[in-house]
Amino acid sequence: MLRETSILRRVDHPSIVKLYEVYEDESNVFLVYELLQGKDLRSKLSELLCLDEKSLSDCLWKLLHGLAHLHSRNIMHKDLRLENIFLRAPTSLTDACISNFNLADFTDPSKCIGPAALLPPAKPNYKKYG
Amino acid sequence: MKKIKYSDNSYANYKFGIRLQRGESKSELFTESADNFNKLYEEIKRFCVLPKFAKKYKVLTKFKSANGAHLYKCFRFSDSTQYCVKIVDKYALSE
Repeated sequence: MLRETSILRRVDHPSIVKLYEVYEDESNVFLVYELLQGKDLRSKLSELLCLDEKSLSDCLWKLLHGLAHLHSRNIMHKDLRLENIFLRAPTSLTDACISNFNLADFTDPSKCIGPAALLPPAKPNYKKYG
Repeated sequence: MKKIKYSDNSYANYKFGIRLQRGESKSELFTESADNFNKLYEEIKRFCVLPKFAKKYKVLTKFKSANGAHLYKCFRFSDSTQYCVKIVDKYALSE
């Protein structure tokens, strides 16, 4: 959790969830994020019957920008999937935002961590990652 | 790092100050104008652990909880907007 806050304090990008403030008292820690009004991308996509190319490419372009921003700061998200991408507005698909940095870490090329089901099949042979 | 904001002090020219505190050590920063102070405050805030959550926010609804952390929708009094707040129980943490 400490790592999550130190990562989010370091990044500032429109496609990455914003951490505004951190509070602490005797028994709890409070992390104040922006409120994302929309759903996560998986439930949104299963709701929609068809998608136009323009909005999908906009959405992906922004997400890739966010990801490039993370990688340029030597940060790996390590849990990037549809459930962890949220939409800022309930209706438009274009304003997507990467969140849930629970597993995120600063780059260490010797490790390979992620949800088991989403690991690449050649994982044992992967020497370099991220 | 903890921060205490306090505005009146014995230094006549430097009325606006921030105190940063960590354990035993602390340092104090002062500035002359309120504008400068607010700018500084906004910049430093991101990197601090702040006290008195309960006074500044009102917890509205809970919408998700996952491995020891609970996500709540909260209302902030100072700017009357809603934020998403993750509340973590310190004793449930293993790190």
